Amino acid sequence: MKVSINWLREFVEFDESAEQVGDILTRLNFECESIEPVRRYVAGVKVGRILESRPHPNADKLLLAKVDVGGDVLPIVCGAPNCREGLIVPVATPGTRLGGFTVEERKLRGELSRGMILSEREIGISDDHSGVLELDESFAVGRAFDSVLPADDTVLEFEVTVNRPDVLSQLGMARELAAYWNRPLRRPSFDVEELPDRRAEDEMSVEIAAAEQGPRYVARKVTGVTVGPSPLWMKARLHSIGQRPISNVVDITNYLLFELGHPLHAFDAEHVRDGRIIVRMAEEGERFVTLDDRERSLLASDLMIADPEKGIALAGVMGGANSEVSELTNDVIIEAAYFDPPTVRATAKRLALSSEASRRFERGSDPAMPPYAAARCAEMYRRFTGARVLAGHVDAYPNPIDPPLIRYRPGRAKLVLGFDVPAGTAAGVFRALEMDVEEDRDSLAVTAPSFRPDLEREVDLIEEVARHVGYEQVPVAEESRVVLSAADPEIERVIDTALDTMVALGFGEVVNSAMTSAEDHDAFAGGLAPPRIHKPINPEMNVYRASLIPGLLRVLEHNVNRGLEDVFLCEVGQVGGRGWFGIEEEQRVHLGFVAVGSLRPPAYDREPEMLDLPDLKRIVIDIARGLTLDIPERFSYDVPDNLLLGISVTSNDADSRAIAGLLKEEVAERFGLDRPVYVGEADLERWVRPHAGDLRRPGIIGGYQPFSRFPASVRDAAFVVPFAVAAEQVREIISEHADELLEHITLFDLYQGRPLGEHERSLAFRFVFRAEDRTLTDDEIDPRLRAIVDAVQSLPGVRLRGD
Amino acid sequence: MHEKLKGIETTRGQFAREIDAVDSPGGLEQLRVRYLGRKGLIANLFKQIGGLDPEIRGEFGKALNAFKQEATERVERAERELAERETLAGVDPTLPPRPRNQGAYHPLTLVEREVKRIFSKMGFAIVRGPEIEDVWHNFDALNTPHWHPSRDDTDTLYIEGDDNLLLRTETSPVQIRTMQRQKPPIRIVAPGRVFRNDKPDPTHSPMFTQVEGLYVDRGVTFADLKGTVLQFYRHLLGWRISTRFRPHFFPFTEPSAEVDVSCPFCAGSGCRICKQSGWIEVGGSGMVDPNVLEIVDIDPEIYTGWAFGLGIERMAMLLYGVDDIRLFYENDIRFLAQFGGRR
Ligand SMILES: [Zn+2]
Repeated sequence: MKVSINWLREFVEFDESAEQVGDILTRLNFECESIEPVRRYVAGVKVGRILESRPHPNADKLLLAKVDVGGDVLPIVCGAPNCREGLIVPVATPGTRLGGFTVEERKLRGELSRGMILSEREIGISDDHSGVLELDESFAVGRAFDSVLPADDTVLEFEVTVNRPDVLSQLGMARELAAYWNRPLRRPSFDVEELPDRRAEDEMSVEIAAAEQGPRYVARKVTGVTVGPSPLWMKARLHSIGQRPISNVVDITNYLLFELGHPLHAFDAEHVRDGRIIVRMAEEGERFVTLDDRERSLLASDLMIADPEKGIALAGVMGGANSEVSELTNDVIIEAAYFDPPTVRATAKRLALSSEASRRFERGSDPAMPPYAAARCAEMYRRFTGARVLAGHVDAYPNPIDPPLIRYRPGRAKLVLGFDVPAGTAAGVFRALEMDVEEDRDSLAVTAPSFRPDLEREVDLIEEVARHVGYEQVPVAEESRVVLSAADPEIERVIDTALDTMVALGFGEVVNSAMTSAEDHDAFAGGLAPPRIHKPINPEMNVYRASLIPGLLRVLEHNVNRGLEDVFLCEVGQVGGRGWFGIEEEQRVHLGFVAVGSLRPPAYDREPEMLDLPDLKRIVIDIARGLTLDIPERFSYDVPDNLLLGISVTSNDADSRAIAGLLKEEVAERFGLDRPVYVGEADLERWVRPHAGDLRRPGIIGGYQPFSRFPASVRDAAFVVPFAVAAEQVREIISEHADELLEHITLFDLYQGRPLGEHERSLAFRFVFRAEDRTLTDDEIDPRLRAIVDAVQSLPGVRLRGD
Repeated sequence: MHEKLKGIETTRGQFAREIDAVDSPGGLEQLRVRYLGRKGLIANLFKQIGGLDPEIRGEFGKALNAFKQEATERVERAERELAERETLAGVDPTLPPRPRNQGAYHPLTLVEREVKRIFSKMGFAIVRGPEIEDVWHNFDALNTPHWHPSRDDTDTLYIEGDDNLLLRTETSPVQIRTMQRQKPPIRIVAPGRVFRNDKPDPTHSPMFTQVEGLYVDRGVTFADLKGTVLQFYRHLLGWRISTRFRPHFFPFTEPSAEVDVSCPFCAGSGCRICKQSGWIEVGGSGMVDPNVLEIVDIDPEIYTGWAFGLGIERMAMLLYGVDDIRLFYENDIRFLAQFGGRR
């Protein structure tokens, strides 16, 4: 919303600077976004009359004019096509500064030119540069232009929140300032000079057939309109707030829109059949051609302005082509109405016809304004289009809208704001904002003004008080309240700890958009079903992710393409839909990771250690340890199709879930990756320790187990194992045949090669025996070890090494 | 002291000086032969014992034996030291540290954790909610008028095939979910990603991170809001920060305010970062609208509350001097590595 300082000064008196005005309105809720000077080039410009205009002897497109500027006759070379004898024009005399240059006496193609005849754009009152500005006879030749138009203005642009349609006008902003300064607000005052012998009600009628959607409709009529240019000051004002002047009949309604904030519409009275206006709902499927010459198909929920034969306007949204004011128009019917905001909004939105007018009706215009706005409009038609005004108006307002009566309790205000505002101060604020206030014993009865649809409840009034007293007057409370118990949900700790583990392991955290592409999901794995986004911002963001890995792979690609060799990335974030685990799920928090290269990068004296599956297992175990979960003893090797090999984890509580592994080459290639890529994803909500929340001791999980203080006895045994027997099978059979004296077993050596067979390897295990209450003897250990060795050798093709 | 005993002391002093100066195995061997060899200085001294007065013979022999033992031990120690020096000759302690994959937190996580830490100190519980929300939690329950433009699909991203589901535009629905579950007193802070139908540019991202605090109890006032917000930003941005509240409109709160902090870079005198204004807009706030409390069955005549929110990206941009929000989501390691492993 743009506001002109000169314009504001018509409604409230002030000497404060534009910056101060910007500050005050900002403090009152309307953030000042910019303050721009409006430069008009009027100093040194005079009104002149072209005495003579003839072609330039040396240039086709130039004219040679003689211009009387009051006493002096200046020869001026002019390029404008409309430069002709008899015109009254603005003339910049030598020495005048115009924009970036100074007008000087000089020769143009051999002819002396002592000045410049100006267009509207050169003066700074519109963008029109089609010819020189033609003034009328009211401009006395020789008059200095700065007495016609003020030289400069300042325009401020404000952000207006959607709840305040009342300040979408110069008058509305002036009202806020007047209340702030406690100065009087001067509404434009005028008398309408009416025809004594023609009455509007004799030539027009308004019938409201849809009182709920069109509560009020005021019409006035003027006769004898002459379409022409608007007065200079009006053009200048419209231009200063970014509007393009068109013609007097159009500019007047536009001017009032920005002055009063009330939209008006002008009909060519000749095209309103019998002068009968009917406010009715459209018929379903009714065809209507709007001012922009487009045919629209209407719904029964659209409000129409019609005559007995046809629609003539879409109420509050756009006029009809059939009743548009034109050069031929003689009589005009002026519409000033109040329409139901949701009705206008729905129509404007459906037809994508948002305008300055619909914006105001949609948010709620002032239902009390129409008679006043119509009168002001009629009077301006009289003054600036040569029209005469029929006496009176027609006002259809079957069910007057009563502004709400609101009770304001100072005690309640204190409860919300935290400090006392005396009732008298509050009443002063309300009255300054044009509310009616009656003081009761311990409350105020406040009637909201008709132009404030946002004031309905006590808290709305409390806000008005806070706004005008100033938020800076609200004290800053010392924090003295007792701190409440505030246990975070367990997932919060899981998220932080899992991430800490990943970072400690050397993974870099990334944050990807949760909106990603369906194509990347398909490229990663079959069967994913991410929720699709309706009208996505771009095709790369057409789904809400079901897995973190597609996004991570894209980041991997980005960084690998930049020459990095060892890239370890992780992310924690929400996912939804059917993901990699194959289940359609509520949204959950996942941890994802991707990695290429070496876990231990090469150094000057060391070869790299490339990441492999046992490392992945370690990573999964480290995450579990960080969460003090039971460490998964078993991995399942049954993994989704997109992995060449991998693991999935179903931990002891049967529900924990993670998948990790080596991506198939063809899958990696779809993400531009030409080397082994390891990926993993875990559902962190399934890693929340069951019932942890009930323990009410967040962060402390598990407990102390007594440990044996007796020495351990260590035995080693190596087995030659065919490839067909997995290491885990050997381990399992050991566990099955051991008792509680076997504290733990470690695979400490793995060997392949001569003298073993081609499809054999050697697995060497270390057995640690220990008792809780004594030092074990060989007699206790030897038979136990023998039983284990025998059991292992019962596996097909397995033998003790060295035998 | 007897003349002869003085002789032992002299030889002993000479040995000590010489062995300290030895710097090679060859030199040490020469020294050993000269003192401890069969014809060495110590052997010569032993030969003198026979010709001594019996009264000093005992003392002399004792002193000489002690010297011999000491000399033997010193030679052995010097041998070990020389051998160690030999092995260390191939070791260069100035070699650079070996590389390791360096983990790092994303800068948004670092800022979010800092924010969570401050709220935790103030007694707020951290709560999260779903990113795919329903219209009721995201708009209706937050008192958003039916006509409010934020509901349009030009502003908000909806899920295809279900008009009722959308990508949440605020973390405020988490507050509704909490108030449905729990009655006052309530102190929570809800961090999370939110979504808007915005084209990415240096200051806009269709996804960003919000944190919102909510406090509902008897007697919670606007003054409490101002106090808490001031404390919060002092913890986050430094103790010289001041705050400013400007009226604004948010459907969820009334009165509503936008919060500015005094520019931490120029202490309010005006600089490039604050566009010469001395103030930086950091978020919205206000007293929870009575309609919202009624929707979740909390009596607004008994309870009042405040809410305030901020954008993590905005804070991270301020704190780290990042000038393009898109850098956070590009995830280029050259960017991410700059924030290190600090938590
Ligand atoms: Zn600054």
